[in-house]
Amino acid sequence: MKNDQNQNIGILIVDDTPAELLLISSQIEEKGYTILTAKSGREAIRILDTSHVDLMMSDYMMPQMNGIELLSRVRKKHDIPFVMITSYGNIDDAMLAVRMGAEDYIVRPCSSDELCLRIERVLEYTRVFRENREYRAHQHSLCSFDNIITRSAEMCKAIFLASKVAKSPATTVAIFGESGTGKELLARAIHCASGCPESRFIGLNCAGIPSGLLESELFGHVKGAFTGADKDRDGKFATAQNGTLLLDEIGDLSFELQAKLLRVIQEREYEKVGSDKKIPTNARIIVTTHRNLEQMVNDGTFREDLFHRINTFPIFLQPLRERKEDIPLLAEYYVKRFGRELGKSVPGISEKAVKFLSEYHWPGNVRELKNCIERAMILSDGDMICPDHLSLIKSLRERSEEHSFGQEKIRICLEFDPAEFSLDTVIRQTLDISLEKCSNNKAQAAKLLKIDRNMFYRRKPAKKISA
Amino acid sequence: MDRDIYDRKTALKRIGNNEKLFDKYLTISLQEIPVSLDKLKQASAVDNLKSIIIHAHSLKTMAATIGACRLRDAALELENAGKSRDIEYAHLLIDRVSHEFEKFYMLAAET
Repeated sequence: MKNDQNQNIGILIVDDTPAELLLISSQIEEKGYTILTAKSGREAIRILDTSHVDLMMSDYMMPQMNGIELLSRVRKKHDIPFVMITSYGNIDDAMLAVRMGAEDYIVRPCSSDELCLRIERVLEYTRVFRENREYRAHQHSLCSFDNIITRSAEMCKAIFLASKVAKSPATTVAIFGESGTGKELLARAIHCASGCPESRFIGLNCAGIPSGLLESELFGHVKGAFTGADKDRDGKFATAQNGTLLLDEIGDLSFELQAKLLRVIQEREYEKVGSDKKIPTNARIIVTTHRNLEQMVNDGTFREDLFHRINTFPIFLQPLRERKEDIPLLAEYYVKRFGRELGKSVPGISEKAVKFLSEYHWPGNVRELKNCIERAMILSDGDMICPDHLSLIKSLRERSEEHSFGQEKIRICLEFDPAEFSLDTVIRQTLDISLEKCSNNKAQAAKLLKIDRNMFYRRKPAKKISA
Repeated sequence: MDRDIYDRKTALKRIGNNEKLFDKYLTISLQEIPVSLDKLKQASAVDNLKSIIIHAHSLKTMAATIGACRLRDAALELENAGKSRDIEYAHLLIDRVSHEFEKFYMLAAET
């Protein structure tokens, strides 16, 4: 039955035998494809240069240029699927064609149903393959260093270092930074810049997996290695072969596994759990942590030899509060991004909202900012994001103030008439100022002053307060 | 009818019992096979193995499609003889291929 959707699909059939061209064309035409024919490889190449072809089918055995030669020439210039047509008794030729890059083969004589089914499958495979390739390229472009948004000199330096080390896959890279600063983003950028877009980036959160399972996750296991190991299984090192293995939160690795990891980094080989067989690895290893590994070494919770081994090329990422110049840029970026994702046309973010965001301390760093903007965008009705749109504003202010007590110096200035000046009035005024700072929240003010909250109930208000 | 010589039913079934298409293909094949046979004889006369392989292959393909089973098998053997550079055996097989084609032609003409 003819399928109208197929008329835009061009299929080029190449065969030196007119009877075969006629037969295959007729069999395929029934499905509605647009058919082009060529009696030789040379004619086929001419057609390819001038016509739209989505799939090519060629006889293997032809005078002058055989199917394999044609396949090799086509591959140099065109990105179209190739189906080799072989004949009864020539299955070896078909295998050779597939090894040389043909997507499929057909052995004649074959039924119309089989022919059409193979064509449909190759077209579908090609569609999915291309889609995947485009998706990977898109992901690749998203992960590039150019897509890391910053104008901070420190961050630019970190990116510069990362771009330099990207070309040395054997060097272990350690990325240090608080949670949410973009350690994984930078690790992905290093992976993408290493020039192997087809290779895989495998991440493993060492803190997220019980230590008993982590070894098997990392190195894999063989059947019978432990209860429940009913078959051989590859670990992350095997999956990341030719690619990158990110070991997130390396500081949470058990002491025993630290020793094993050290050996892998040094020897570039590992053993599956339950096996003595050494397996080589060429995976690039990137480790990240929010912990102070040097301190952990001093405390005896992290191996010094491993620390030195992974600290060959350290990169430090600044917390967002130390690069406030990035906050407006990031906020604008996320407004645009979530605008696209949520299908909302939001003109931008108001100066007041940017000011508010810039004043906040961002303990969760860029991840927290991203979540904050996403929520604001969901709540927005399509007009500019302003503090009122941010329903987080109250909690942000509270958290901001809460945090500022812990980080910033508290300055108070007290004035007294000489007659009133005494220790008691100083205490009373200090209590009042603290209470005011904490929006009359006695519990918070007591916490700030490290005193019992009952002090506030016992106090007599001071006459004059200035802070 | 000897189905070893001409298996029209199976051949027709393969192309969805499209008799019109089959007869068209058969007509063209009956014109092309003698041409291939001539070329095979010419190639055999000058021991041109490459040409023997190509024409035996193309003849085998047509024979397989039209249901000429014995002709197909003889052509396959000829193709393989060419590939294994056995020119003496190839000479003998060309006669066999011609003979099988004659038998097929007679049967095909009857139907």
